[in-house]
Amino acid sequence: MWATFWGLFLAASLFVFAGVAIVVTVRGFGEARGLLGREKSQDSDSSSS
Amino acid sequence: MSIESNFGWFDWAIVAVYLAGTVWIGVRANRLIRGMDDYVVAGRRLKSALAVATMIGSELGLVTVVYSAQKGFTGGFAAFHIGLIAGIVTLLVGLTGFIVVPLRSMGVMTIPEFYERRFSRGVRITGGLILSISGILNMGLFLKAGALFVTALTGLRDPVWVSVVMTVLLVLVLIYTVLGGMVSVVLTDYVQFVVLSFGLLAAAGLSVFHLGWGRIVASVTKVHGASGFDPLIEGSGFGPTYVVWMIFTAGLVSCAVWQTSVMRACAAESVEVVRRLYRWSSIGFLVRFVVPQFLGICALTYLLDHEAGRSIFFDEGLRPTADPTTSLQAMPMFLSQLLPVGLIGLIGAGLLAAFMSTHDSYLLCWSSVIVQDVISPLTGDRLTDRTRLLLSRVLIVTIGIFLLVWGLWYELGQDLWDYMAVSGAIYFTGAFALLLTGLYWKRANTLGAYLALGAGCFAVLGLGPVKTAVGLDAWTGAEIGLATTVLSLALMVASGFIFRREEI
Repeated sequence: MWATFWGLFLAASLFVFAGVAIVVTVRGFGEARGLLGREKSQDSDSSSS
Repeated sequence: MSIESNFGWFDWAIVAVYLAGTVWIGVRANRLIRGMDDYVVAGRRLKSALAVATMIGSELGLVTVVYSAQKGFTGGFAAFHIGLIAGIVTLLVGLTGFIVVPLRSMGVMTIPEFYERRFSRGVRITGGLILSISGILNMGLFLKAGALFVTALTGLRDPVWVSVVMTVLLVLVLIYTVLGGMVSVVLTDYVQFVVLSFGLLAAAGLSVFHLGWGRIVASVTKVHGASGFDPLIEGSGFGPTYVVWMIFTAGLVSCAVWQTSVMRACAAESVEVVRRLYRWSSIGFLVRFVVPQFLGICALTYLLDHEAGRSIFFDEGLRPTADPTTSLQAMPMFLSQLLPVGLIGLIGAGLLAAFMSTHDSYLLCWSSVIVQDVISPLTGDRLTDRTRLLLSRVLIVTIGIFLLVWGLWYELGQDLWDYMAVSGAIYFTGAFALLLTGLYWKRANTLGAYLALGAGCFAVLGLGPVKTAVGLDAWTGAEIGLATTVLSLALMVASGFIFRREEI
């Protein structure tokens, strides 16, 4: 009974985490590029001033 | 008798390339730092996905993986209750905004900063000092745990080489944390989140495929019996008191009171992002315990049927070894046998990078607290942004040197997770009383805050060597921690009822 419970719990956790990992990986990449993009705009701001 | 590792030169090459790339990203982020806000909370520009990645990437460190695997090895499936509790409580915090939303709304950078706004400057300085001491002690054994992991995974036997590897890792962390602050921490955490998430999922899948679910359950039954599944049984090494302690520490404290987690909430773009961050991170807070614990259980299964492994990791009655330093090495030893060349290098690199990501977050966090909440208030807030940055960087290096010394000197007398819960409790038992009453109870006052912070320091009695020295061996760390929490809250409430705020 306990073994079945923990087995289902583990399987469900891994499944949901895999989904979260995929979403965060894809969206996070775009956001990280955005954060680094600020570096370019800051560089161009400082060179123009 | 020893066990050979699959870790080869190709894996070392993967590790080297990966670590060099991580450091390069971190150093590059130095150009984004314009002031203390950028350095400590990334200018409060984190959006949801990156905030989730850095929250999980930072909390899912090598040390978490190692101590959770140790819990799985010594406690069986019953240890899963820790992850279950952590996931549910983090989700509840995300749904209600308990503690973290009011903190973000106030715009504070650190918890002691909240102490000053709600209580007084003196409370901030005292709280900042206790927080930084507790936090630095808490990460005091990270290097040692990392060294044991590297030894077991790579098959390195000479302790001198292990020390060299760990020192090099620490130096790399210091370089990019000193230069890039929170921006570099966020970016490197993201890379580590990706590698570790998929690496751990692959390791868990391979373990089930290799060992079989039926064999895993049979091994836990053989070694632990019913207590390997039910955490409420006293013989499981857990019991009802421990479960309540976990609801508090692994649940509420680790997501809503622990400064490194709260820093993520403070760095979020808005209150709505904070709520989303906690809702999404709840599965990460669950998995960061459960997957390594499962790998620890798989290590138990594998080593039980391995002649050399059985003699190293089990006693004559087939009970897991009572020596915490040995049981820490069971999971990496198992991975070194299970994973093929290439994959072992990738996962090893991910875990070593995670080791660095936890270090960078913690180093940044504690140095910022000392500068912002102790030194700056003591000097009448006359420090310029430039001086604060310089001080933070000097402190990061100083703490790094302390970690090297402490890691070599301190003898681990209990499971690593229990050491961390107790050393952290020196801060969070008092901090919980201040946050709970300060945010939600008008009568909370400054005297109560001092008393609660002072009472929280009694949690140090839960550390293995201290317990023995003062003759408290009959008490568990969980019992001492819970008693300290109740005492802190009781003093705060009593002070609130006895004195009005204006009388203090």
